[in-house]
Amino acid sequence: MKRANVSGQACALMAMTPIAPGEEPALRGYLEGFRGQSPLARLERTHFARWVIVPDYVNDPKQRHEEHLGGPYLIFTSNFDGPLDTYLDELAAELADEAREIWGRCVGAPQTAADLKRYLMHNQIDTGFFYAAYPTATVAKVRAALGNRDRLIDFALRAQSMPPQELRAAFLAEGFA
Amino acid sequence: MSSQAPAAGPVTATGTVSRNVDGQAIAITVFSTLKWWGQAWLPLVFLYARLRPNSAGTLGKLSFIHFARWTIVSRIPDNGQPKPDLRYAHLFFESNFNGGWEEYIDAFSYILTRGMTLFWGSSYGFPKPLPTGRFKQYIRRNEYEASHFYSAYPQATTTMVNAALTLDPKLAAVRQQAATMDDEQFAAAWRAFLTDVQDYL
Repeated sequence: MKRANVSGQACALMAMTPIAPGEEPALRGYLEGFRGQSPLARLERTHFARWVIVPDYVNDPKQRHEEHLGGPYLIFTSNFDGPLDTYLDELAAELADEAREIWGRCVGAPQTAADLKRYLMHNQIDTGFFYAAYPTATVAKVRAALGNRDRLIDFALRAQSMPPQELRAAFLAEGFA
Repeated sequence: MSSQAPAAGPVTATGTVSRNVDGQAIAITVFSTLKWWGQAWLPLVFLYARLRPNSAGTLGKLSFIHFARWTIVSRIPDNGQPKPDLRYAHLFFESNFNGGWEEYIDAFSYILTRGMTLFWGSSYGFPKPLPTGRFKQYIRRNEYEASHFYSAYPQATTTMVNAALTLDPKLAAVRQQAATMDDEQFAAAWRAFLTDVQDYL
C-alpha cells in the first residue's frame, strides 16, 4: 500500500466507481436508508467511513474548459485500522449483501467477494496527504479508552466520600479494562 | 458557465445536512478543479506536510479533527464506462471532525491561513482563506453531501478521544499501585493520580 495512504497504523481508502445508467436514484435511496443502523458498524476496524454520490464535477467560471464526468460516480472512503488487504477481505465477507445493492449498481459490478475486493482495489485512488489525530490507536483501543474514561469519571465522583479502607477495594472492584 | 454541487437537504444546527452527521461527528467532502500547475505543486506540499511533523502539528492545533485527507484525482479508473473527457486534475478533500460547520471553516481559515493557501491555492476559484465569508461560499459551492456517514464512536469528540488515550496508561499505572499498595498508601496515590489527570477528565 502506498505510504501516503497510511498514518501510523491508520489507513485511508478511497474507491471511485461509475454508477450504472439509471441506477443513481435507487442507490441514493438505499444508502440514505442506513440512517441510524450502519452496516459499517460490522467492520470493527472502521473509525469513520462514508458513501458520497458525485453527480458531476463542479465547474468554475475561470476554467478554460468546462468538463463533466459523463455520469454519476460513487465514492467510498474509509479511515480504518490497517492493513488494507485484510480490511477488504472483511468488507467483502461482512458486507456481502449490502455490496450487491451498492457496488452491484455500478458499472462492472462485482459478482463475488473476491470480485468485490479486486473491484475496489482497481478503483482505488491513492491519497496525497492523510492526517490522523491519533494514528497509533485502533478502534478497539479508542473504544476501550473512552469506556475507561467514562467509568473513571463516574468512580471519581463516587469515591469523593470514601474512606481509605473502602477506596482501594472499590477501585479494584471497578475492573477497568 | 459555473455549476454547483447538488443542493443538499435541510441544514441542521451543526451547520450541515443531517446525512453529514453521526452523533458529534461531521463529514465534509469537497472537490475542486486544479489549475495546470497544481498537479506538480501539490505533491510537493503533501511531501512537505508528511516529512515535517511540525506542519502536520499545525493541523493538530485544530483539535476537533479526527481524520482528514487531500487526494489528487488525475484519472478515473476504467470499468468500461464511457470515458469522461477530463483535462484537469481535481482535488478531493474530506474531513471527519466535531463541532459546527461554520466554526470548523473559521478555525481552518484563521489557524491554517498559510497552509490553506498551500493546499487550495492551485484550485480554480479559491478566494484566499480570509475573510472567511468568501471561503465558506467556495466550500459550500464545491461540497458534496454524504449519502451515508459512519463513526465508530459517534458520541466522542477528538478532544475526548485524545484525553482518554492519554489517560489510559496513567490509569494502568494506578491499577498496578492498587494491587500492590496498602489502603493508606493507595489513598495517597489516588489523590496524586487525580491531580495529575484532572485535565483529561
